[in-house]
Amino acid sequence: MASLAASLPRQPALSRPAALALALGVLLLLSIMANLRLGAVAISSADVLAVLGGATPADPSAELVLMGIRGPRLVAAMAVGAALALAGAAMQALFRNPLAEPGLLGVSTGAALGAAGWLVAGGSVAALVPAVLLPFGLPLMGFLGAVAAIVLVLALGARSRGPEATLLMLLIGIGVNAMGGALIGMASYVATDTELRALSTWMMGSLAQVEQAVLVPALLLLSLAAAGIATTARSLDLLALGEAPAQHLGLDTDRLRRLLGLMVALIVGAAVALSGIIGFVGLIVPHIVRLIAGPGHRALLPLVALGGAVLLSLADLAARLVALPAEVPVGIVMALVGAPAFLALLLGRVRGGLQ
Amino acid sequence: MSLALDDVRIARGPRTLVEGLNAAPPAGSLTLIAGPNGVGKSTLLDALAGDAAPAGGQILLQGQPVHRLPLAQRARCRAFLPQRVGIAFAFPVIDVVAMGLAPFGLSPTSGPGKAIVEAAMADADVARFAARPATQLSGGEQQRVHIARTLAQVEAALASGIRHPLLLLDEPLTGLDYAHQFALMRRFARAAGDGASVFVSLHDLVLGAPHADWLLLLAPGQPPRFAAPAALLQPEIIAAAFALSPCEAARVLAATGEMTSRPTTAIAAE
Repeated sequence: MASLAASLPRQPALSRPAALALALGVLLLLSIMANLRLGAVAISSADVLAVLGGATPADPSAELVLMGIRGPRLVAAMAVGAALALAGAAMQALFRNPLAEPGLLGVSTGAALGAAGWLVAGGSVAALVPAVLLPFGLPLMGFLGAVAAIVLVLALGARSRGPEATLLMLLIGIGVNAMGGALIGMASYVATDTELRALSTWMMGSLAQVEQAVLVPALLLLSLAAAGIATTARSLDLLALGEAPAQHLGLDTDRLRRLLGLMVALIVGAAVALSGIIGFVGLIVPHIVRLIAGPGHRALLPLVALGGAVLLSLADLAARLVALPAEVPVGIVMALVGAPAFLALLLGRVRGGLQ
Repeated sequence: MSLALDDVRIARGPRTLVEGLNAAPPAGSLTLIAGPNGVGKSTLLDALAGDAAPAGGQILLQGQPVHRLPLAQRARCRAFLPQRVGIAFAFPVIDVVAMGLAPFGLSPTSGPGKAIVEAAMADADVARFAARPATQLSGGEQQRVHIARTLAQVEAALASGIRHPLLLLDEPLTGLDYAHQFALMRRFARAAGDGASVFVSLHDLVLGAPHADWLLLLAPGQPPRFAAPAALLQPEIIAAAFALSPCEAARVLAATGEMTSRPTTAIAAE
């Protein structure tokens, strides 16, 4: 619900959600431009615009770099960031808790486990799978792993309430993460050196190895799930009252939980297939957007998607630039930013009486 | 539409709390559910709302078992405020109240929806902090926000052509100050006057009895009693139901009696 408070008198000309949308839009444009221009080879703005406009750039290599490398990577960063942020907002609404996040709750680990299974064992079953479906193998396994984790998490924790709910939720996350970690450890123990290398890049989260073949199906799944979450905005508002009161307003909460669980699993599965585990996007972005634009999901969800695209594209830019000519996995950049933010959030809640 | 309770048995886990409950208050009346703590008032209200099937017997709304009605249909014909409802994120008060319109698809920014939300906020005296986050209010103020939301739901039902919606309130006045307790009890009676079938659980007879058309008295180990208030507000009945001394029961009845001597309509019109 776009907040009705905005319709009350004494409001500035531009509402806070609108102002935030404008700011994020500008930031996204700047981030897109910076991402396309900067890197091991700098490309001039004129050349970037020329390539985007379909004209011939002054520097002939610019087209190859932009369309072959930076463009797809940027698209992946924005899509994964937007989707992960949406998944975070959806989990938070579902758990009625701003600390709920796919990474912390172990859903990402579940997806990584599925992906690890495919990386290690996929080669031996690849012959049995029709060739058309092969690009879907990794996203599909990631999705299945995410589904398994989210079913576990929802079964254990979504109904809990009261002062222990936050604690229980975080403990469930620790448990699921530990379990997934152990199984991934097993997979890496039996992996060959090449598989191990791919696996460890996966665990750190990186957009460096985005494959075009995986990009298109993953983008498809991400858009599908994002659209699915977007249709639930009104219901997510009602869920803030709690499960029973939301039902008293006619909301089928069981159906909503299944739908959101599926959408989050789709997002995390596809995102992990593209980039490996990237945490904290779903935690930081909804938190900041809620502070500025309020909690109503009809404004929150589009802003969160926009904010996620901005944050992850900027984080990826940093990941590419800080250690030139090498690069840092973007998952590590996000963790460096996100983990302190998470601790600050947690401390704020402890001080406000853990609830 | 009115609610009919037919030989209803209410249980919490393996323990039967209420047995052999028969009641069919006419549409547009206010029924006060009274009794000591733990006697099953909340469990009964959950069953009336359709959240759970009764352990025995039937609770019929429009001639159908209420817990079998589809969620969306139930939401359009009954508003329910359980105890201790919270709100998870910092929604402004006006947004929380407007959630009461959700089952009807009414827009809260224009037309009848807007009028309903504004009237409900005025009735519960929360219009002053309409734009403030509900999470920043005191407990009593938050309770009034949820009362306003529930009133908005029942008013939206009336406005949508449902003539006799159910209004179920579980200890709605706990934690409120005197002025709001009295004003809101009058407001609930007015909802009954408008056609709603109102069920309010209270442990405070003094507050509730003057506005009640019917009294449903629950007491541990005794059969439930459903009758006009005057028939049940007798010293020995009250003393036995609430485990009071004759002197204490007399004091309670003196406080209710002075007010029951005036017709409900006169009080509701104040």
